[in-house]
Amino acid sequence: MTRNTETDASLDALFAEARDDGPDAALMARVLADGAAVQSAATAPVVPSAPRQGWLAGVVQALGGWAPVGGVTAAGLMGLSMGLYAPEAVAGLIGADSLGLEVISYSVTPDMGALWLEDGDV
Amino acid sequence: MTGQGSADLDALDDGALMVLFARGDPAATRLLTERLLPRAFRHAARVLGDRAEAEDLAQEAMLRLWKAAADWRTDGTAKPATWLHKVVANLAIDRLRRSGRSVELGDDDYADAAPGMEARLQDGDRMSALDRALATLPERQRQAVVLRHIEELSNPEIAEVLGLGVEAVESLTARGKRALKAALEGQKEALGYDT
Repeated sequence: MTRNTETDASLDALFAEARDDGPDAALMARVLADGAAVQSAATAPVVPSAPRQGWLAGVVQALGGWAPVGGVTAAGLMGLSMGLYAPEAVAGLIGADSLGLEVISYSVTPDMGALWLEDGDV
Repeated sequence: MTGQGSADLDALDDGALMVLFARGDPAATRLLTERLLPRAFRHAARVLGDRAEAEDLAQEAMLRLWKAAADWRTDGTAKPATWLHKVVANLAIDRLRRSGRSVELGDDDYADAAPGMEARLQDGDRMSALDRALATLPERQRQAVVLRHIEELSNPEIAEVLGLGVEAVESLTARGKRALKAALEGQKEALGYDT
């Protein structure tokens, strides 16, 4: 019983000694630095990221912005209208008569109506 | 951010310091480090039996604590010290198992250490002798003994750290201490107790 008590006391003394063990200054410094780094990251001002650019915006930017794109669009529409309307009408629009220009119309395709008709019958 | 006065912070518990840490208070960082790092280090050192490895583990556990501060709930039941010991316990078990130094888990955790364990002790300083004796215990016994007799946690706190019931913890600590005494029995001269 005495021996057992003695062993208990020895073990308790060893535990007490273990409680005095601790980290060295270098480890303390590393942990403090980790803490400061986490704090810096958490409290740093949030910079909003640039909004994601769509494909259309990319094309517009490649062409130099919306102003050049507007010009290209207007020119395209003008060309389309010239193709759709009769040359006479275009000549009227641009005042070709007053400029003394002669409007000549050519047909580059055969007269389809004639192909449908044979001796006046369908 | 300017920290509060050191005397003011001393009166705060660890949970309140966690909130201040999350707000960027450097004084809270220092005080939490002074209070909790020694616990993490001692726990790791006694369970792993390797000082350098214990330093790495304690640093990693503290880093996890810093990262957890932003979401820390002061109205919750978890205490930072208990939370930290739980992280240390899990990291230590991972390392022991990876390195093949783990003593088998299972029913043996609740059994006395195998006879003849004291024969594995070698000469060395007192902490080394204690570490070698602890290393003969199954993992959970070892953790329970360290947390109870060195870190002086209560049995309910140890139960929370190890994810066990309180009765299981009582059994682990009692058997662990008995096995430790047996392991150290032949080392009394080396430990300086044999007068």
